[in-house]
Amino acid sequence: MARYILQRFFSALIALWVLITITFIMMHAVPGGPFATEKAVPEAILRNLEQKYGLDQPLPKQYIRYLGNVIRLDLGPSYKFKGQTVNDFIRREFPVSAEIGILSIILSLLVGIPAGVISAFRQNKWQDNAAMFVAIIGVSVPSFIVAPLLMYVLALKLHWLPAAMWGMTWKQAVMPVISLALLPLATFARLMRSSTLDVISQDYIKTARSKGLSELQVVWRHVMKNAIMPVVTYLGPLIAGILTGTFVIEQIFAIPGLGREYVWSVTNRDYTVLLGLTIFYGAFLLMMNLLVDIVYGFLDPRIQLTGHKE
Amino acid sequence: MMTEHNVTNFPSDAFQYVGPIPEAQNLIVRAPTTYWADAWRRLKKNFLAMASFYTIIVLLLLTFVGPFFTGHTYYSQNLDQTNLAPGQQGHLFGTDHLGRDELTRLLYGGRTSLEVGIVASVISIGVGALYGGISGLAGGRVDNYMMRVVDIIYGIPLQLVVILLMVVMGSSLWNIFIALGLVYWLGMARIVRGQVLSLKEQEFVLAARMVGSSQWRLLLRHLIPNTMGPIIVTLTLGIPQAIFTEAWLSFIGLGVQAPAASWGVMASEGVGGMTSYPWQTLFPALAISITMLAFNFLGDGLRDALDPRLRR
Repeated sequence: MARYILQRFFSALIALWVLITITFIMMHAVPGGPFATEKAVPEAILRNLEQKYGLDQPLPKQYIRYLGNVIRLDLGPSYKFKGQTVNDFIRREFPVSAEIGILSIILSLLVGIPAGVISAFRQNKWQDNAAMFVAIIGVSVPSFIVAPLLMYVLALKLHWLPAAMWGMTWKQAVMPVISLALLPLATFARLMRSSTLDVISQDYIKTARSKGLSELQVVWRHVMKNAIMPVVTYLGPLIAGILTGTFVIEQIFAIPGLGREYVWSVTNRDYTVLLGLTIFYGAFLLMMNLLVDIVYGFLDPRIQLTGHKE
Repeated sequence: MMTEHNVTNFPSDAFQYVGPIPEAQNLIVRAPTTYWADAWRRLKKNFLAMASFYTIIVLLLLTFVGPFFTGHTYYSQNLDQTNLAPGQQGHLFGTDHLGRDELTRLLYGGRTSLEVGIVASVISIGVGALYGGISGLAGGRVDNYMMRVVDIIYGIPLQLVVILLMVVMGSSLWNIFIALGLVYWLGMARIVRGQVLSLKEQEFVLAARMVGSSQWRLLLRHLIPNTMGPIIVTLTLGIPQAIFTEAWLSFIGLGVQAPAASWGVMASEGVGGMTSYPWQTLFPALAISITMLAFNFLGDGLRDALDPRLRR
């Protein structure tokens, strides 16, 4: 187990290093450099700016310096908002994004998993067909489409929920969370259905039934425990999906989260913020994937065998 | 015991030689069929998949031919006729905030989306299938290294890399193609490699080797054609992902540039005026949803049809 975790940890580290290197190279491949604007900046000021941010140094030196800063968890200043650092943005805005993200994950698990199990037990009945039809719609309709539609119906036509005003009322969280949760919810339902179908045809389920366990006990103790595995493997991509989802959802509902900041840094061409947030998001996702892998390793003892084979 | 006794005690004249029965020998219970014909037969029974199949064909026709027949161009502005409601003044789907015909832009934007889907699939076959095939066929250390590379790229959050690429290269349709191309072959490479690994142990590969097929011939003529089923399924399910990525990029302002249209751009332009002109969001939203639904339904149907073992 320790070896498996270590191996995962190192490959995550390599991926992170590759990501940092790619971002660094790309940012320096940008034509014109970070201070190129429509307004002509005097040559002397430009040179001073470059000196201040260390951009006049040779590239390898800048690269080493940047790596060193990242290791010390310093992601650098913002070029566009004077006096603000990327770390400030993260500290202030990531909790907001995390709140929406965690709520969406909880919602998708609470609805998606039972829906999948029920579908499997009612295979090809109307409950199954209805759930799977809704699920494929959930997989097909992007969150940035769901969000405006929800907003139109629930906020603008029915006036049930506010369209903006984050932090004023809990009601503001309802629509963003639903929009973000729809895709993972549908995916969970589909995954759970197919894995439950696999499990309920196994002999040990027959054994459990013949022991006289109630149907609820069979489902809870024997079916769920074994059918949940694919859902665990999907948690990594799920977190990534929710994260990129927040980029647009926060934009649509005017939520002051890190996702919106990221998109702004793209629009403003605020290169250090873009670079820093990319590395932050990358490290975060790699850490989450690592966590999921470790959890999976504990849940499924067979994974150790593949770890040792190397 | 009883029956055995009876069988051994049959008198020899109880049986009569009738000779071969030609009708029975030539009786065909089911017409001979190929893998593809069989898959097509199964697919045809799947209503949703077939409906999606025809929807996609109609979409292709509409988006590639349609813009010529609407009587407007996607870029012509008419500032006297901005934000018209559907049906007003000869604009079937209304106009946008610059007075451009919504229907024409919708059809033209669909072309962008479908082009993205097509290019992504060409890349995923051209690069992914080949990479996976070579890796699987080579096996051993080469395979190990090639797959390590895939694992590492897989570990990097690709949406972020695509955003960075678009920022650096500038947003245009061609750069979307390139960004997708760098990213969209990984899944295909893994699937083809897995298939090739198991296929290459089979007798037909041995036979091909025996008659002196080169490695390339083996890969291109024998192994990859035999993986076509999983390749097509992966492809069909990958297209909506590519379309989604383009729409998502356009939505956050990194997609095609004005005056070019794409569904993502139109939806994102529409959201601003949601309160007054909801249809400007509604039409592109519906278009994206229908297209992605059709590809997903078709992909699911193809998976059932091409791999009956997975069928439920």
